[in-house]
Amino acid sequence: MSRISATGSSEVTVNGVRWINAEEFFAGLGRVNIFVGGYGSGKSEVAVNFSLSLAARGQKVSIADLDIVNPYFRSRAARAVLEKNGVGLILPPVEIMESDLPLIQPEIAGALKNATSRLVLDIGGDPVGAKVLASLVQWLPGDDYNCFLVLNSRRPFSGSVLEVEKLIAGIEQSSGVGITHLVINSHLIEETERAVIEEGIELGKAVSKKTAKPIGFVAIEDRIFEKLATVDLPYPVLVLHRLLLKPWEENEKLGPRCFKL
Amino acid sequence: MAKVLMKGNEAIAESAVRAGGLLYFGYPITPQSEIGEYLARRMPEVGGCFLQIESEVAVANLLYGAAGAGARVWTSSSSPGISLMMEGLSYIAAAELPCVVVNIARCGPGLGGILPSQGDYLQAVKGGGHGDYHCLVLAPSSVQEAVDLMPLAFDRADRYRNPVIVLGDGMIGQMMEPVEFKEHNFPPLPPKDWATTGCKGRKPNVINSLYLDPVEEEKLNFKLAAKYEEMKRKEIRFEEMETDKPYQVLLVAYGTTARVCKTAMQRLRADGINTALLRPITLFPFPEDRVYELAQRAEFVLTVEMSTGQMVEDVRLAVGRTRPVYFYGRTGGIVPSPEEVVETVKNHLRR
Amino acid sequence: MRVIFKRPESLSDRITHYCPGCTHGVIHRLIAEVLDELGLRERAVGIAPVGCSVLAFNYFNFDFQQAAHGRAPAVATGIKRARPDLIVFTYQGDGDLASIGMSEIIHAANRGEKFTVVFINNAIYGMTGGQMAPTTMPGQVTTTSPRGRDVQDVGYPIRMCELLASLKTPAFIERVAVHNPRQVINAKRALKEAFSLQRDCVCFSFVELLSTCPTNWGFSPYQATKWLEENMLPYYPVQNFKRPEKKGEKDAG
Repeated sequence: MSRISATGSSEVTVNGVRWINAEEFFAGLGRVNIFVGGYGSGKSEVAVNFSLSLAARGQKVSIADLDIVNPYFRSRAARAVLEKNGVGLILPPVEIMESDLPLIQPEIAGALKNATSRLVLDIGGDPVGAKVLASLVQWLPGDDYNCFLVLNSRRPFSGSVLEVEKLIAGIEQSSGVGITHLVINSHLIEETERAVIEEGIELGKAVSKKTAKPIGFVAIEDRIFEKLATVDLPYPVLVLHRLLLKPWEENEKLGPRCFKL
Repeated sequence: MAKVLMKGNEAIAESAVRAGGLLYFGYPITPQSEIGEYLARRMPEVGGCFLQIESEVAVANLLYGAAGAGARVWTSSSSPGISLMMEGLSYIAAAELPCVVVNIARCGPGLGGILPSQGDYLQAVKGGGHGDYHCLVLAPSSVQEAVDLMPLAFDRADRYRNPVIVLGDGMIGQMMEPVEFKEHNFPPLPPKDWATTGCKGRKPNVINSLYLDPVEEEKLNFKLAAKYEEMKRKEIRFEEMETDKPYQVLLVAYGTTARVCKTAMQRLRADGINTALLRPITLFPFPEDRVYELAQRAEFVLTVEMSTGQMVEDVRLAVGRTRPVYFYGRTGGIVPSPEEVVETVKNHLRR
Repeated sequence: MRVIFKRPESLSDRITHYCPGCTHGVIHRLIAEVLDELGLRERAVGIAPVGCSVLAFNYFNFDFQQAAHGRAPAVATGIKRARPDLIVFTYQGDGDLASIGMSEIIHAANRGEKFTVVFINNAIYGMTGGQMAPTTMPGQVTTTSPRGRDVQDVGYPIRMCELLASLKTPAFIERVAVHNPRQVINAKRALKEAFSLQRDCVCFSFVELLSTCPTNWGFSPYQATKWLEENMLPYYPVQNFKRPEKKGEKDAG
């Protein structure tokens, strides 16, 4: 399922989220887009950015937060921004949203079957978080989906081909869903340097070679991207705009926000 | 070693392992369960022991036993679990045993919620369990600082033969920041010749907190008090910001709220208001002298906490009636925003 | 002159505080003899409970830790996990082990912690002055059951050996008694088996000793032994409940 490739060089800007070389990528995208990965690899941030991009392209899209392992910094924390930009939300009820209960919304099966809307699934980290997919796999639309493994080489247990292979095997086994693409998201937040991104791409290439899973896209945070002199990658690039912020961080485009709902 | 991106909880676990904290007993509770999960994976790699125990009540008593047998032992929990450990901690303090307890605090009282809070301050610094004792309390404000404080916590626990609490909150435990693990070198520690390691070639050792003779019990209490006085002389740690320039307002905040205050200070400066920050790193012993000195240069002091006012009691004790001490706090898991701090400072200045 | 009887090296040269006719002294001596005979004194760490034996550390001549009420199995687990080479035992009464410390004993047993539990069951709280214990017999008068233990109100006494024997992990569980010489000899045999299993790193071992408390029962020491025999033995059978299969035994069978 390698319908995604990048040859163009167009740049699209939406909601502070930019894409480079991504036209073909979006053209070949499945209806359901699942984001899995190691714990803390940046799945939620990528999934939220990804949903906003689809909405900005005029597509009907919903995001479901199925993170049952992480108690903070889940995509539900970006609820206001998503709602404002027309992304449908499949979230637990507000009064128990900030709990550590494993909450799976019943609407999720309907959304998986609904052929008129795209769906982004933000899945919890590691095989244990991906387990939640096992109960939903029966409603996945044939081959009209992509399953992206978000990879940050600077996270524990994600730094080598061997570790990533182990992670892939674990996630595929516990979820029952085959990973279709890799997403390179190597970073150290504000301390990210070019070398970190390059290291991530090298790791991604090596994993790709070993597993025959293509690199779907590379995510680079906008503040870091602006500092990089040249970017010449044979992959689509998501210039990511962070939305899941710490309470004392400020987002110029969104204005001040804090960790409260 | 290259920098890595870690969650506070994972980083605390890794730092403890590197500091020789190879014996960990715990019970799962949000928002700190990643500590146990990380260790369950990591301890076998380094020949350490991770063991999930039936309750926090038991955990604290395992710490007592293992510390009494001379091991470098630690645990972590969050507020309700820490309350359950108070029995054991009192015994550990009384028997003068070293251990490290990490509290990734959540909001309360009662079961509360899983979001961050600083509502365990008084419990941590005033003793917490029954009897006349204190723990040394360290409060990190970033993931890197949490990493750096873990080796110090183990060293000081051994040096003072006293429990050390690392008091974070859910934000410190859950957020991710880049960290590096540095080598820490401490002076050699005295041998643990008091530990119950088998009495071969010596008289039997007894680990005990039972003193039926009031004279002996009082002796123990005065001995402990002398130890806490020594901590006050040697262990006070804090960070200062903008105290080298004139300022109108002194902010006092620790941990997560200190991060919020730092952002607020930049905004206030842009609006022409100069503020300084004192961030206690040790909550016990509390930097009371420095708080007093810095308060004298300000019009007033503002303490910001994720509580309805706990550390502010110690700030008021330090400042006395020499300057007004105001308080701003949010609770329930809500972190005060920088704007709220800015507004509070401005409101008090307008008065 | 030939020495035919002396204080075991594992006992210290001190007079105990126990009442006349109390069986703690006998049991202390049995533990000391066993540790001497097995050559384990220099590796031994005892855990004293809260109860009449709270001061046990004064009477043994090896390392000791004093534990919070009921937590001795947790303390022992901590020691044993830190130093598996040490020979660790808890010495606990019925209030300590079967009431406030129920959670700790069940879970330590179920994990198969390789220490030994010496459980003193005298059907009453001794230290605090004769209150009802979880092991107090039906109808038995105590200061908190002045009309006798009413099983309709507070249930029947807990049989700890039977309870623990229902778990799959703990492998050595035995109930003995110390109210007459023959039983004392049998008790020593059980303790020696338990400590030997620990020495060989085989399993968790649990020995319950039916004991007397003449002071709080309000009997003479001799009457107390009779009361134990008539009232406790029928409800608390003296027997081995579990014993690990010896290596090769299974194959041979």
